[in-house]
Amino acid sequence: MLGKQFKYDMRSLSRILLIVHAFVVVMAIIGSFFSNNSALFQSKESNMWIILFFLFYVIFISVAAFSTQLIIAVDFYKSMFSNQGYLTRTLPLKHSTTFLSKVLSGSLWCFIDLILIFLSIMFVFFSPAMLSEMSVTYQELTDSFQKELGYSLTTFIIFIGIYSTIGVISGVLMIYLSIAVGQLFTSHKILGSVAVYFGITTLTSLLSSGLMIPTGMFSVTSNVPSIDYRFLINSTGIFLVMYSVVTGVVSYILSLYLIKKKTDL
Amino acid sequence: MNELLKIEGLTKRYSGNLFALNDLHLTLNGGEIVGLLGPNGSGKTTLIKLVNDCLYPTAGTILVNGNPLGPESKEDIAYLPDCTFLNESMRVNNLLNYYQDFYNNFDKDKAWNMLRDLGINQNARMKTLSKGTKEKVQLVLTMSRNAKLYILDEPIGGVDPAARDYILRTILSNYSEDATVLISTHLIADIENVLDRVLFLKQGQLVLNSTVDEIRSEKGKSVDALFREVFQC
Repeated sequence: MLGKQFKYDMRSLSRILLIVHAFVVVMAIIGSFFSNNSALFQSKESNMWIILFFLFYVIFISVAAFSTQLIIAVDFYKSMFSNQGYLTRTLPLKHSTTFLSKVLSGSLWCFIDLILIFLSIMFVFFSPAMLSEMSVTYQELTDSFQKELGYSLTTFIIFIGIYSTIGVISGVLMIYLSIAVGQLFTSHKILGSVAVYFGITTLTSLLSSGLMIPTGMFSVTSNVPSIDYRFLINSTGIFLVMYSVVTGVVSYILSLYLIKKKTDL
Repeated sequence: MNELLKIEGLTKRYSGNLFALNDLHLTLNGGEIVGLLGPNGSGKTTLIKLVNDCLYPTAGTILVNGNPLGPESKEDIAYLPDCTFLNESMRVNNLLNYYQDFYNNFDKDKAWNMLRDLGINQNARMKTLSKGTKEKVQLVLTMSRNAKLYILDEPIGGVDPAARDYILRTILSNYSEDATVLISTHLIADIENVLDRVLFLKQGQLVLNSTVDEIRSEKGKSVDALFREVFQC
C-alpha cells in the first residue's frame, strides 16, 4: 500500500515539478553554451546580454528551488487538509503509511531539485573551459583537502551528499510540521502555517548556533592559532548531521501525532 | 443481525464549549437504508466525519463491523462527502484506477458501465466537468464499491429533481442487500419512500431512532410531517 500511495503522490507532485526542472535543465544548457564559448561574445553588446542572462539565471534557479518547496507544501496541504483530505484520509491505510509516503515523495523531489540545481551550477559556472582557466585539477583539489582536513575531496563530497540528504528530509518534515500545527489555528490556518514555519526554522537555527558556541565550534572563523581547525571543522560537520537527524525525527513524530490525534477536516 | 456500526458515548466538543455531538449511542445493523435527519447544525455531518475518521472524538468509541477506526473499517465503509473531494487534475479513468488500486471491493466494470450510461467522457479531467457531473462521478465511484456500510452526506442536496431521482435509483440498485446505507439529508419528502429507518438528530443528540413503518403506524404520520413537528422553529 505504501508503494501505491507513493506512486500517486509522486504523480501529483511531478505534474508541475517536471516542467519547472525541465526549465532548469534548459537554462543550464544555455548557460553552459555561453560559458564554453565566451570567446564568441566579445562585443560590449553581447557581453551585456550575457551578464543579463546570468543574472536571470541566478534569479531563476532561486525561484525554482523556492517553488519546489512551495509546490510540495501546497500538495501536502491540499491532499491532507483540504476537501481532498476526505479521499486521502478515508483510504484503507494507516495514517503513518500515508504520512510516510508524503515524506518520501516530498523528500525525493527536493533531492532531485538539489541535484539538478547543483549540476546546473556546475555546468554553467565550472565548465571545463573555466576550470582550465583557473588552472585547477581535481587531483590538486583533493591533495589540498587531504593536507588541510585529513581526508580526500571524494570523502568530503560523500559527506556533503549524506548531509544534504538528511537535510532535505528534515527540511520537508519541518514544512509538514508547520502545516500540521497551522491546522490547530481556528482561523487563518495557512497564514498560521507560514508563521509557524518561520518560527520553527528560526528557532532551530538559533538552537543550532547556541549549541555550537559552548563547544567552541564557532571559533572556526576566528584566528586563534591554538585551535585545532581540523577537529573543529570535522566536529561541526558531524554535529550538523546529527542535529538534522534530531530535528527531522522530532518533526516526524510531532507531525504524525497531530495528524492522528489533533487535526480535524 | 450483525452490528455493523456501534457507537458508544460519542462526544465532539469544539473550543468555547460547543458540543456538536453529546454522548451519542447508536447501533446500526446490516441490510437497512437509514435516514440521518436533522436541521442544519444538528450534528449530522459531524457524526459522519467521526465515523469516517475525518474528525477526532472528544470522547466515546466507534466500531465498524467490530473493528475500531482504521484500515479495516475504511475498507468496509464507502463514504460520499458533501463536497468535491477528488483531485480535480485527475482524469476520470485515472480515478477508476486509483480506486481499484486502493479498494479491494471496488468493481471497476460496474463503474465503467455506469459512467458510460451517463455519457461521461472517461478521458475528461475532473476540473473540466460541471458540478453536477462531478457529483455523479463521485457517486458512481462510491456506489461501485461492494462495501458493508455506505455513508452518503447530503447526496441529493443542490441537484435538480431529475438528478435526485437518478441518484436515488443508483443508490438503491447498487448496494448489496446485507449492506447498510446511511443517508444524511434534510430533503425528507424526496427520500422517505426508500428509507427503512430514520434517526433524528437534534443539537448533537439522538432524539429518535425508529423504523419508518413504526412512525407511520404508531404516530399515524409521515416521516416528513413528524420531522416538521419535532424540529419546528
